[in-house]
Amino acid sequence: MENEKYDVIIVGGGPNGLTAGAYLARAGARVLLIERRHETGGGLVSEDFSAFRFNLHAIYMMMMDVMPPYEDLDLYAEGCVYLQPEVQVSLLARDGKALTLYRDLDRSVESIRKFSPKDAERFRDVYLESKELSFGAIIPLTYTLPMPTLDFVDMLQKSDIGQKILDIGEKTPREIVDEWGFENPLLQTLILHLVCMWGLEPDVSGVGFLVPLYLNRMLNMSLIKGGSHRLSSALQRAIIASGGDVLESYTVTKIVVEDGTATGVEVGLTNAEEQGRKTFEAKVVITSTDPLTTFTKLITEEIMEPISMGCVETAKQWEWEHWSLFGLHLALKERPQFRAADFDPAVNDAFIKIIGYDSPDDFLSHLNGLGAGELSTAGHITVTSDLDPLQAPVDVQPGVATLRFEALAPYEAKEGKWDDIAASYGDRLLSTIQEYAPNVDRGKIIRRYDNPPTYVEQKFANMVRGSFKHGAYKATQMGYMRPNIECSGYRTPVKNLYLCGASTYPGGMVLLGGGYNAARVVVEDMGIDPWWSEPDYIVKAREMKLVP
Amino acid sequence: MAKVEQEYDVIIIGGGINGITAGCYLQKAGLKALILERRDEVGCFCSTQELLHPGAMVSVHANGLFPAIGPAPLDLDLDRFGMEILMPGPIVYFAPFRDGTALAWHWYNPKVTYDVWRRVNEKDAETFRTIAKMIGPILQSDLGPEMMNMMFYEPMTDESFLNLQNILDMFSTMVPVFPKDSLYLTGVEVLNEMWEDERSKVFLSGWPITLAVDIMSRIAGSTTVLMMTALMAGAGIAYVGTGRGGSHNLTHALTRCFLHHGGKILAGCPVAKIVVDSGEARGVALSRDAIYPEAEFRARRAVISNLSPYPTFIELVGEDNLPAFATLGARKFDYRGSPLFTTWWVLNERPKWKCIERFPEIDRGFSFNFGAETMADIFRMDEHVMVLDTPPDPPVNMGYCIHSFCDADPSQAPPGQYNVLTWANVPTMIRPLGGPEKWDDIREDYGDKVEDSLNDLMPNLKSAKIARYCDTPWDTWRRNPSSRGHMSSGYYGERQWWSWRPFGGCGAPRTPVDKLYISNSIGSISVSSLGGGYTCAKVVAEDLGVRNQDWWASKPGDYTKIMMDRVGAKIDLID
Repeated sequence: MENEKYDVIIVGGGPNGLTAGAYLARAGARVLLIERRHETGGGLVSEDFSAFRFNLHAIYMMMMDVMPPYEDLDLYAEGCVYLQPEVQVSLLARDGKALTLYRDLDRSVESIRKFSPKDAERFRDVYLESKELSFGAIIPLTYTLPMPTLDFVDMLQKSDIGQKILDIGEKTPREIVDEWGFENPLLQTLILHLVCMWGLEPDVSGVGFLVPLYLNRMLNMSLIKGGSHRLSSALQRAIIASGGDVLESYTVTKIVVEDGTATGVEVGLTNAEEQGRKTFEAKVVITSTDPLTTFTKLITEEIMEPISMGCVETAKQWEWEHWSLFGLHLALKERPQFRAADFDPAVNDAFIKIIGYDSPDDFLSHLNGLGAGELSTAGHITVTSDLDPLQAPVDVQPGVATLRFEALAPYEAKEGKWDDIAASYGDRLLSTIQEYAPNVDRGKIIRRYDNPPTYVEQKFANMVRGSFKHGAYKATQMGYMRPNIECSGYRTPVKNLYLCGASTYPGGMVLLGGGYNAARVVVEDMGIDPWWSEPDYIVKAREMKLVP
Repeated sequence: MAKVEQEYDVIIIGGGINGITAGCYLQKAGLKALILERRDEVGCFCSTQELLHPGAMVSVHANGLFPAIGPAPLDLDLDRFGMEILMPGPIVYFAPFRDGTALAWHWYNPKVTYDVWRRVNEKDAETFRTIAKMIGPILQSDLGPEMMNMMFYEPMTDESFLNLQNILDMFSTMVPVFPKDSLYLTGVEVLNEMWEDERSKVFLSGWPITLAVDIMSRIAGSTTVLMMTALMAGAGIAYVGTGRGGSHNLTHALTRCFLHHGGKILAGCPVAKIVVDSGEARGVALSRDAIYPEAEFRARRAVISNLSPYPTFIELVGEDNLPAFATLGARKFDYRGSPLFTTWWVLNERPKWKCIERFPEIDRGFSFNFGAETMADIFRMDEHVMVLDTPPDPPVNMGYCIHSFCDADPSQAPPGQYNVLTWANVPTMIRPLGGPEKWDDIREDYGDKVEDSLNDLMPNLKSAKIARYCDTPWDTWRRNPSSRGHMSSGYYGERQWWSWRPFGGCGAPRTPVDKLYISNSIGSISVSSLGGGYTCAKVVAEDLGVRNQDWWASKPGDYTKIMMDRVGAKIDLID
């Protein structure tokens, strides 16, 4: 590797870095991808604990069925196969009742009807409108380049759908959900949870266009068979099969910039950067790192400031997300039996089971408390092995199960340092699970992991403060502003340096949008013909003047 | 399913490192190969994960990696694909004892080995010196690589075994202390004949037991003990180290090589059946749980199973397609002998050894054994593993314990942290305690016992402990059902060794089924030499007429020489 001259070096092997690498390698570029960890994939990490497959970070895939890379890169044939559980989500109430929503709209409507006939019909309208906005515009926009705000508004104003998106964009998630006007508290809670659980703050305006997208997508979630890591693995294979190289366990310490132009990178050994120093040259460097790392560390302020003060200043003001995640992962001797299944047997099959919230206030007070470092024991459960037998060793030991519990949690907990309180907080979460599934007791646990927000940060270098989308979703950090106005379209003020990570448009959440869009910009600048063509839905949206 | 190509020249069942190695050679030789893996990730026994806190790499199975002794790194250009096998220093293995003494093996300078030995037992040190003086120079000729070739990289035949015995007989004429007629002796008998001090015997038992060989057995036991003695007396042969970032490094390099040459890997694809028609393997069918449920794949020219004999022959081929000797051979294949209980610690300071003052050489030693002070401890261990079916108490750790991953490769733990691994020998089934599932309940208690016993030798173990992970044979079984809990694809003793492995008449890597080959449970020793995959690929390539390749030319030892240059190692023989 060391004597090679690369066309493209990619810093960071998360979903976006891998995606950019795969498109570019297939376009004929000589690609080197460098990953700090011993394994590529970033948040697409599945680890094997006693043959129980723990998806320690990303698991609920919201774009598998629509993301262009899945078709373009033949990911199905490369072993990335997903399933979309018919029963998507159940909200389990403390009284033993449960409200379940399905992929199939009619089934959802019937399920809601048991609680409120009025809400059932209302839900049909809301869902259909969300679907129209998602497929008509928001999904196509995800996989096209961001536009300057004025141009964007100008474009959207020209159509009904566009105008709706502009209108909804001004509102906060809570306003939008309130306007939908559901009367049943369980449904209100469930809907609010679905649209906010990935970090949309209920009272923050400017990112409301994500609400219909999340409603639609959170009812069409996918689980990747064999674990989330299959996706990154398939992407990495696409790079290697096209002649690319991958270097793991080395950390990029510097992006070499000469006369305002990126010419390569310096690396050192992960955990001991002064050792194993190597330099690689490349025509183009693409980094998936967060802005603070890119513009103050990999390129020092001293070098960066003369090129662009703005990049340095916005990087220093970069706002991380205001809450993170706590993961409790269990390998169990037997499958959990949920009390609510007596009320609604579909609970057993639900991809996500939300527990601990009986009302919107329960959920909102949890979210509001996060800012003050307060802990709640509510969260959501997925028994991955029920959906995909590959995720527990059921072929060797029938009946065992893999359970994942995730709670929204503050990076700084009022009760103390996470190192000190993670285990006792895990105990409390376990007690909550037991309230809903009494057979999950200590004697049934084969392995258990309590992973607090600090775990997220330590594992993934760009998820500072457990910021799992590489930075807060707010108007000044979204769209054309992500990560800043000078780097909007993946190009940067440093010649031959590009961005592609979750801190660029369209953001995190395994959309692969950043990598996909960045690859298009890079091939254009390198004068290579893109070998791929846009999906029909983008072509159609462009005809409707909904994407650039 | 339409989009997944269903026809290949060669289908390989099981993406362990031997399966991928076979795939690399055959794909590079121009065949179109498919690897099917049950887990979601290839390289089950050669994998690394963050099973503790982030940055603390845990390679839960294979740890000391041996690929550098063989031809694969050069033939397959594994450096280019990122393989890095790192040693912390020249002491490849040592045995610390409770009395504060230690024995140590310097891998290219037998003078150091001798010097350490002298501080423990003068007579045994002189025995070693004589052996090293006589045999060391011969092994520097073609004979050293030739012996490695016979042990690892050739199909095991009766002829090759006789050749090896001739070499050992030659040694015994040169060095009187080498026993004659070792075929009649067990490994323990050989040790008793050659060495005076119990510590010397325990020390020399270490590697054979680490390699899963039953030293109580004839032939396998005696031959392995003698070979190890010769290796120790020789110099610059046994290069073993840790993979960069953990053992997964080797799996990743092999995988990239295979993919680079156009091979296809599908994980999450448990195979339910090998399709046999008219006595010929024609392809495979996947299980219902596979990511492509019940999909069928056709193999135009060969099927290779990298699974052990029971699943290969009984579960996948089926008894209807087998002659009686093969059915019987596979059904009675013995999986006892060397299951492992792994304990992994992360410490916040370097391990400090009790014996370090008198034996500073071991400071950056790579691997060690502990828990056996005399051969009686090894007999006790063997009785528990082979007869009583309960874990020895106190534990005996004759597996490949490693205390200096981070000296070789700091990337395996966060700054200021150090990994320590031990392997205790235990039985899998533990029937008197209620069966193998009981391992989940007794795991941490047994880990405490291992910890107590290591703390006696490494007094800062408990005080510097940040985290601990224990892994049992039942974990091994769940992770890799083909292993049935065994560390290294089944018992290695007289009845299941060399040309009788996996069973007499099999002709491995060929099998009684035409076009079906095996790359697992064959040969003399498994470890991570990549020998099973290499040997299998060689025979398949010969049968299919694609063996002649310009790049397929290196020999055992070629890459080791390159590694010696890289680390600046200079052989210093005893004269």
